[in-house]
Amino acid sequence: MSELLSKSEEEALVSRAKSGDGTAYEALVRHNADRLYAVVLRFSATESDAEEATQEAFLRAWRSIGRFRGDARFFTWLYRIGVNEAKRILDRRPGADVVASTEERRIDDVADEAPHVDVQAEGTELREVLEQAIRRLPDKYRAAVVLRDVEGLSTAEAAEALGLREAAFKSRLHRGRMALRAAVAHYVLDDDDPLPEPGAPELS
Amino acid sequence: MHSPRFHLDHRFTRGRLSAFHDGELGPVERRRVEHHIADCPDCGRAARSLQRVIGGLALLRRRNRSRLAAGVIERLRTQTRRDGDGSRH
Ligand SMILES: [Zn+2]
Repeated sequence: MSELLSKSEEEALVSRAKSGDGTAYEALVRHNADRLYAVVLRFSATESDAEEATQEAFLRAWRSIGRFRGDARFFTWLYRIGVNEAKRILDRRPGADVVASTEERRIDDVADEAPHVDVQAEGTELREVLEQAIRRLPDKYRAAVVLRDVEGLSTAEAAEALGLREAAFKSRLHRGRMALRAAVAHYVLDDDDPLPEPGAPELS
Repeated sequence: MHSPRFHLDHRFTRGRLSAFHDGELGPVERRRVEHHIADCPDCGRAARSLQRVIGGLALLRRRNRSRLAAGVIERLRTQTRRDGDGSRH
């Protein structure tokens, strides 16, 4: 039940939910829960915080679905509520840092079991350093990179989810990506590429 | 020594590597970036490593098949029942 709904399926469910149909809203919950949790987890200190933020986001969205205009995709609106909930919970925990657990099973793990062992090992290593580098990115850059590059939203959808104009979103995305590139430089250079000069500021 | 034109193209390219990767540049801008990347080892390297970073980020997408949806739905139903009892009965 977690595949992304088509635009028309989503619109039909949203329209029923707006008229008070709880069953339609439950279908929206089933289709979006795991996806929302994956995003919210990257803005939460613990997995249970992320679960709480996800639940609160769905309850809040149900209460205010009448205000959802429907000119954007439902999940972009949901992501915005979810990320705000997560930040609100994180603010109650001074000094807490976001977690991005690598422990969970990934839905496409099976497909990743490629026969070529070296490539697999290399990919795993890059994944781990990227997970860590994402965690250290400032919030606004992390949000852009997670929605666009990890979750695969379009530029328009990700900008919508963050309440930004596309130009502002693209600028954050670019800065976030370049900061990540600098952070994982050792893992993404060609063998014959010399290392870049150290200390080149990428974020300023 | 590089020409002033090279330095202008270098700065132009640096600010647009993301948009270039995403295919979001117009044809003129795209050609300017392509030409510069071919001429400038630094920018060529940056473009290649950026591509690997973005490819790596897509590998981080994951879905833990959680029971979260069931929990949310249970809370929604409880709340609806409670609201119904409170306001309509
Ligand atoms: Zn250059």
